[in-house]
Amino acid sequence: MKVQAILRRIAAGEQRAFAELVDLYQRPLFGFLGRLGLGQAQAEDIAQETFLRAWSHLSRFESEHAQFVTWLFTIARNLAYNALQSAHQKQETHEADLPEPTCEQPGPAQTLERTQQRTRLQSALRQLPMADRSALALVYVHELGLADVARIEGDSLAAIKTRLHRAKLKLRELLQADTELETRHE
Amino acid sequence: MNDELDALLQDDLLQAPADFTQRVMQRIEALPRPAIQVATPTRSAPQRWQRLRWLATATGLVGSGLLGLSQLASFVFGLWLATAAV
Repeated sequence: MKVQAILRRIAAGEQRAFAELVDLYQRPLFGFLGRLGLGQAQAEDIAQETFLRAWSHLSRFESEHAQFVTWLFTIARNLAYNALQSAHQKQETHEADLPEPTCEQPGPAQTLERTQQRTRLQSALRQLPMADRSALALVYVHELGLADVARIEGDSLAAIKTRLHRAKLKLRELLQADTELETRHE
Repeated sequence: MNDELDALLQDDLLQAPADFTQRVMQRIEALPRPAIQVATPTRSAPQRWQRLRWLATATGLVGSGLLGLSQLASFVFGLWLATAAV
């Protein structure tokens, strides 16, 4: 309902109302892009492009048939897909481009551990097949239900559940292997 | 491990820069304004369906009532004809 009200204000000519949509969805969008294994700079570009495309194609959005959040994440997913499939991916997504510790303020040891966990998770995520990774990244967006994820992915609910199960299994394996390797090195 | 993995995945791996909205809006201001059509709250499909069903039931009831009345009238007329002939 809130989104509908914002869209009505935009339709009435209040361009600045779009900023409220950006505020509303930037956090889940960056979370999604992070889980896709993108680096900060690349995620910023894709998130910005997502909102710009959403603005440009607002006339095509049919609020009667689709939810705005589903539509927005479909745009983001397609852009991210293209970016990840491009030949320059390996060069652009560099380890140094990984996220910085977020706003909570734990001690230096905790921060370091958390950063290492995130780095490990992102590198494990990048090893998942794109389709499984995308479903996994979307399912942790609180604004989306499983049916929305299936709609964005263009797949059945059962297929999404299978992809999720497979992705989590593989991710757990990868993280475990990484931890074992690290303990062996120590 | 599963809970730990869930917690890790729920964590925001990336965060939007503080001036992200401002940056997007700056670029949007240079773009043409889209002509959007927002659906005004109208009667939903289930409501419409329910109304149609109600209309069909009412039409059926009125129709069968009229048919019954005409049957009764013809019976009474037959009776009258029979008694009048005697």
